Amino acid sequence: MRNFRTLYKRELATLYYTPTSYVVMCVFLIVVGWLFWILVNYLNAPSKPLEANVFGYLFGGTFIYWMVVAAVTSALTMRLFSEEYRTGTIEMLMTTPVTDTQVVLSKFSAALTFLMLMWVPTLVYVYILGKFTTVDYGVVFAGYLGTFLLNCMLTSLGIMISSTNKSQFVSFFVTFIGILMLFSLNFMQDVVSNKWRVVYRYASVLEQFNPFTKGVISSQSVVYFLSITAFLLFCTVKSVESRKWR
Amino acid sequence: MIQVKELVKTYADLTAVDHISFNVEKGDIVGLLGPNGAGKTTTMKILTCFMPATSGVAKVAGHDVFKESLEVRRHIGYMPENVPLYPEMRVNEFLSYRGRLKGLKGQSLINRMNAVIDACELGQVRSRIIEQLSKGNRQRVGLADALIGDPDLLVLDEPTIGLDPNQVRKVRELIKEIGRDRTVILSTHILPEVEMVCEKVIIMYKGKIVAQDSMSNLRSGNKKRYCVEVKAPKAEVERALLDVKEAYEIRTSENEGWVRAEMLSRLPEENISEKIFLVLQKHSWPMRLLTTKMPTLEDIFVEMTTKH
Ligand SMILES: Nc1ncnc2c1ncn2[C@@H]1O[C@H](COP(=O)(O)OP(=O)(O)OP(=O)(O)O)[C@@H](O)[C@H]1O
Ligand SMILES: [Mg+2]
Repeated sequence: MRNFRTLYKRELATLYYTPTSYVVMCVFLIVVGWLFWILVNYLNAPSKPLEANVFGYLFGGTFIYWMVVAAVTSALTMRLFSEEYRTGTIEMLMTTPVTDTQVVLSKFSAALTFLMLMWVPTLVYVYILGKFTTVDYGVVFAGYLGTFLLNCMLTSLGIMISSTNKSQFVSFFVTFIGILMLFSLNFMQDVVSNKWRVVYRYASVLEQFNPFTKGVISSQSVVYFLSITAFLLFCTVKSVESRKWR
Repeated sequence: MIQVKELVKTYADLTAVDHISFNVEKGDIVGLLGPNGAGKTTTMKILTCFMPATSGVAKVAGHDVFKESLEVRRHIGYMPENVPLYPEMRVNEFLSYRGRLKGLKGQSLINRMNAVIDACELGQVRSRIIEQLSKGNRQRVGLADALIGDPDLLVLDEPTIGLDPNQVRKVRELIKEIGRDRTVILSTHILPEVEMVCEKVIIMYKGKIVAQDSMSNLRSGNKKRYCVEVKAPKAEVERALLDVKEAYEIRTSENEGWVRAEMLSRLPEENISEKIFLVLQKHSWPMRLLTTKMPTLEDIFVEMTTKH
């Protein structure tokens, strides 16, 4: 546990000091701010009926949101292992008494922490909204919980891919495409045969994420996100170990 | 401290380490020598548990490097070949981080940090960012990192490259000092350094160990060389020396009209100086030197790693 804390602190500090992180954070806040503005405009138009699901706009209701999530996650996870491989620091790291699992979990947790910290400023939007209309805090909570689970899964995907190669760019690219493919499953289910539709539907991130934006916490979705996260982290540990057999 | 038996490491189709066996006792300072690509770094990576061997056994402090890897790593301070460091960290941040990973904390961490910063003369740069350090200073940070855990076994892969002569000397002193009660295994291409620092030498060549012995045994076990200097044309000296039947591997060099010839004798028990003298005397060339010398480590190294 001490090792984990030491490793985690360094990872978080590095994310904090890397210029990429700031670019990523800015882009993220600009896009989410823009979505919020659209949301406010929508609420201001009296002609439209007020739906329960206005928060869908903030949490995953738009295409740009998913693009940004994909890009942000890829950018923050790309260097976790690739950079250590490229510069050779992995050799220094792995010859101290730490286990591969500690290393993987600390990197994962640091990236996840950073991603979730980016969401903290958005609480201000919720607060502002609360001033003007009645906000269903159950829905807000579910939205944030869903976001957390989603980020767990995407971060574990990013770290897994980063652990397979020594180029940050390749890691970014593959993770980005991978995440977009996961999202696309939702649109693809209409064009595949009935037999496959069920599979696509279950595998689709959007399908699993949607209930959260409506304030529903479904155990099936929670299990979906957590089990995929655990599986991908397991793969990462194996991939880090595999350096020994190459 | 280290027991290695029949260790083999193959990369895809290349055998980098080929059935090597050696032992290192506690308190030894061992020099691991060999030409480029001999397998020194590979051997060190196996000893430090960075990668497992293809076959064979290696034990450090009684623990198997593969099966009890964590325990082995607690005993080792390792400085890898190109000294990889985290560029964005400050020197003292980095050392504190590394110290924690190696199990230090609180006051003992602070004490150890001060001690290694002192020993490696990093006081001036302790709060600088590693990225902005000179190569030599980065090298010292790597050394400080290897030392911080106060390890029983230090594994140093070419520790003095990139250092200035003063610093090289300091590092040698430091290694000697550590070697009093610790075990050190270091690789280097600077042979005089090995002669100064190491008590034991292992010479590797193409993945195999071609010589391993204590420094003194290695030198006395190898044949002494005869040296003679006369004033004469080089070609004629070479021709004349062919008359000394016992001499072989004759190497000549010329400097300001004086020709220096070095040779080995086929008769190790007998001194052939007299024969050399008598042969050269016939030509009545001025002679200013006729002597024997012990082989230097360089002589041994060249002999071991060029034939075969
Ligand atoms: N990761 C690797 N994959 C494939 N071959 C490798 C790898 N690392 C080293 N080798 C090969 O193994 C052999 C031994 O390499 P090693 O680095 O151990 O040599 P060395 O004795 O340290 O040489 P040097 O004095 O140049 O540092 C070399 O032929 C090298 O090309
Ligand atoms: Mg080497």
